[in-house]
Amino acid sequence: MTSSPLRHPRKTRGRTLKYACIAALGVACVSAAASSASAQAPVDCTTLPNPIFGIGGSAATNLIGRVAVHLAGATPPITVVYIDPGACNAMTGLVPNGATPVKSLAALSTTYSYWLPTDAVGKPHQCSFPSGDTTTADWGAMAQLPGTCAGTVLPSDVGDFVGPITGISLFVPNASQQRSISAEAVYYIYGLGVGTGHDVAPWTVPAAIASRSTSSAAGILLALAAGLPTNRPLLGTDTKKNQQSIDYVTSTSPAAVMTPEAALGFASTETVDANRDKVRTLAFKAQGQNCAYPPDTDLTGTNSTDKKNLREGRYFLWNPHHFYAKVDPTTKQVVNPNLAKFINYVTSKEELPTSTAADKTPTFLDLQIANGNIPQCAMRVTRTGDMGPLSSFQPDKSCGCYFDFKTTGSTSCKPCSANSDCPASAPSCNVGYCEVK
Amino acid sequence: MGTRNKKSISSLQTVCAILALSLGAGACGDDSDNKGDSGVVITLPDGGTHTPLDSGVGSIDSGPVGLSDGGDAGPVTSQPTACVAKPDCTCTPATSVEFLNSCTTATCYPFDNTARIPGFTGTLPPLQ
Repeated sequence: MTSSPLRHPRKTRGRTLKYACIAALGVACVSAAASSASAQAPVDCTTLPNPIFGIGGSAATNLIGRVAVHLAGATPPITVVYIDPGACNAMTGLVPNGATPVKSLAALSTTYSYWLPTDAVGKPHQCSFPSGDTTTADWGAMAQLPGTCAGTVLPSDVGDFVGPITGISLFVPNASQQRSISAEAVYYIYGLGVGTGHDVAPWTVPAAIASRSTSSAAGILLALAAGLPTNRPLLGTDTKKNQQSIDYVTSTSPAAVMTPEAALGFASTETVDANRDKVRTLAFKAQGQNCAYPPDTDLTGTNSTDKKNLREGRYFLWNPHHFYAKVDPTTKQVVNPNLAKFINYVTSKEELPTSTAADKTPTFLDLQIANGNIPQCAMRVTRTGDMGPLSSFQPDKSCGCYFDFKTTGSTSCKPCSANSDCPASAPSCNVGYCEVK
Repeated sequence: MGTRNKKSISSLQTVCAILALSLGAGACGDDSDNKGDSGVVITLPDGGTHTPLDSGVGSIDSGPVGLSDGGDAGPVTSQPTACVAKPDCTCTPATSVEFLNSCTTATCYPFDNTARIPGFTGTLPPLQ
């Protein structure tokens, strides 16, 4: 008997289901491939509206992002494009190395961040430069002077523009009992190393020590404060970025997680402040200082955000953010008009533009404070050079009272609407409060 | 339906399910502990300005208070009054060191280098 050309009904249904699943699987696979392809194909940075291209350290990234969303929502919009592989990359991106021209942005990184008006802090979008693209950086950001980056000297067509103050914090997990540390202890821990016979208890577990390279602002500035050379790596595990130092001592280092008392790291103070649910800034005793102070009046409580010790010179670890931009060698004015606006915003020379940004922070003064930075107008000391000697500082238009109010909820200063409301001892009405000047 | 077909269909369904899950997977959040600060506070009897327990290299502090590391005493604070200059602090700082040691009602936290750094003599050893 020969086999019938007709198929058994159950076998037919089985094959039908089989082929349907295969087809569905194929469609799903194709869809997945297409979706994956579109997700992996970032925007071309050069096609963004009025882009300004920057590179530098991670300490300023959140501050830059907060400004960027306002500019993205301005009319016309300006798109801030930035990548933060490390502070000294600002020099790599802007300053030729002898006869060697600066590298293109395409060569320096595969992806860059940019912000839209609706973006939240720390949630940028990604773009990239086409292969072979020759676009170079317009600006850079780092919290130190160029000489700390392998002796870089700024050429005449790169200007240095000083922005808000950033602190550097040594920090421990909240489970640690430690409250203070000294510059000398930092020298031993990060210079001589842990587990080498020079241990400073309780920081005696090498794998629990987070560090940064001396191409990072935090690493350079801490080295300067501790008397360590800046051309020598700091010992410990290099975490590459500020937030990753936090993550290292609280989650990614098994040694740090198992022995929080032995864990130690350092990062920008605004980064540490944003992670107060996990870590705590240590009070710091600088060389020649009698006692260790935190950046704020207290480690906890109402006065734990006033940055009073930093502002008045008792907390040594701080420096201003520097924004480096291409300028006309003769006039020293920023050449790119959109970049000029950005520089004016971050240096408080010009108020933020009217914007459709979802973030409604009204002024750059408020934006700095919200970000954990200290505006220049709230400082009572200044310094010469990176981590240099301190001296008295009187801003042209003080905002210390306003800063106190915004960070603590109160101030002892007299509220005012005009100078006529103010006493002779504090005759200047600044941002709603009577100040000396 | 034959047994072999049932098994094949089941396998394909499993693969389809796995593929569907992998396409729809999302990130999980994380929990963060919020541990409070349990430091010990010492109030000085004189008030007005703080008196640091660690007055510099080679000094001896008043000993550990409530800490398990056997190192420094707890934080030091003072009563909020007008600034009264003393030998260990100044109300009108002019030099960098004077700013670092300016009189204040802020809390300071001693760190005795001699007690905390084994072999510390006041001079930093050379780096290797």
